[in-house]
Amino acid sequence: MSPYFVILLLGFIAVLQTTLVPLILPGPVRPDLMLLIVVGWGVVHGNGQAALWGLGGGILLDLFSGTPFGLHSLSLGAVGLLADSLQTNFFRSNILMPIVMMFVTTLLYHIGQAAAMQTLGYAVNWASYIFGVVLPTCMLNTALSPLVFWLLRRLDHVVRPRLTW
Amino acid sequence: MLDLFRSRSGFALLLVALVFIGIVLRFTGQMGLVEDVSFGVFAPVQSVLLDLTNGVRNLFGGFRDVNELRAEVKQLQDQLNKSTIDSVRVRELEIENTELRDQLGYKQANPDYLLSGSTVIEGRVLGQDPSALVNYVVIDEGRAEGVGLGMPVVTPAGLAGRVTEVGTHWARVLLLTDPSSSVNAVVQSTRATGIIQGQGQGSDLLVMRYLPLGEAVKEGDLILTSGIGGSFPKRLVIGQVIKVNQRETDLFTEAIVRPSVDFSRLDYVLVMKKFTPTDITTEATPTPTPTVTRTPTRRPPPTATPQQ
Repeated sequence: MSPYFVILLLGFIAVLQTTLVPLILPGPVRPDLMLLIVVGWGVVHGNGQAALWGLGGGILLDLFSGTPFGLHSLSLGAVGLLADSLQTNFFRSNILMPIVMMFVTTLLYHIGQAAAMQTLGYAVNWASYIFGVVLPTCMLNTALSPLVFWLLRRLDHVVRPRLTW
Repeated sequence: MLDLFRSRSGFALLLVALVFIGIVLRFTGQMGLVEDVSFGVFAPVQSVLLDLTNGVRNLFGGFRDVNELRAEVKQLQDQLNKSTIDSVRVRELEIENTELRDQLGYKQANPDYLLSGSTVIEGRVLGQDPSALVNYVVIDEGRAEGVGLGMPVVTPAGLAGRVTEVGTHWARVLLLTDPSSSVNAVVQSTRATGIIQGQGQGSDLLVMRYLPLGEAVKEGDLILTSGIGGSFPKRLVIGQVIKVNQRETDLFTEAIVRPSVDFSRLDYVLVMKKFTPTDITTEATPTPTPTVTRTPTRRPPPTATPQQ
């Protein structure tokens, strides 16, 4: 897949995440589109590309965000790396495992970010954050993951013969 | 050299290097040009997306009657908000009048102003922060339009936040609900002062801390900005108390406040341009009131003539 197409795709996802999603779902519980795409691509395609997508997509989210720069890029890069490594260890036909992995990666992603923010001196109300934001977001991402996996699998079938890496 | 970056590991190395460069630039405050370029690219896309979404909303909203009703509701809501603000000011004037009558020779230096009388600039909210840990929005007005750091951001319903980052044609606004937001506030009825802080991370409520023990606050009280510190003008509506927390062992009282602004539906905000935040750390004698062009807006309400 052309890197330029990937950059455009990630840019579009970042715009959707910051503009459209809050409009449709006002409130702190929203689907993490970038995380869904990164983990989904790791599950569907693997081959180390999800980590790159995570880093690139995270850089774009960091530009939009008021959090310390690097928070999204490093956390999404790590999650992408995890998705890539897990993809190689499980059968692709096992749909339950990727869905469970989406739940786990969302949990790790948000808790990791909160821990990093607290380390940097930001106030984090853990109880409220985990029960009010993280767990509902995990469930939302998990519910959306089959659709995302299906879409990315279609994309993978289209681009796989033309991989540049 | 280029071959290195064509490989996957080389590209990953490049991205990691970009991340660390970004961290250093943000930390040293040199991120301006990069953010200007990125918002210059993304802001038009965001505007188009917002317009499309609103267009689709209107289309599925159906008929012209529905749109007219919606406009009428908005107009009535604006009038209600304005009336609420006006009634707050009337009450403030009554209290002020009583205080002045009690203190002979006291000169009240606080300006009285109407939101519509202040120099404000309307900004469209382009997007919200992708992280649930913080509460920021980005608006489409920046340095070129006269927006500056620290400027209060309001809506007709009340105080929304303040500007924390400014680019050429964009600005980042820290909302009141963010945990790092602190505003000096006053209880309208008792004049007890405290600090309003956001709770963030899923909560759209505010907490007012450091209130004196006793009858300083009760449920239903209106909370306004106090103007202490000079960061915000006085008498901007913040919200209403919904719960008071006070235990016998506490040194201070806490109150949970529901903000007057609906932060989940922020489409447009007003940046108060003419208000210059006072930096009390550089002043020998801190100025107690903000620098705002003073325009008398109404005569004090008539008071009952004391019977002799």
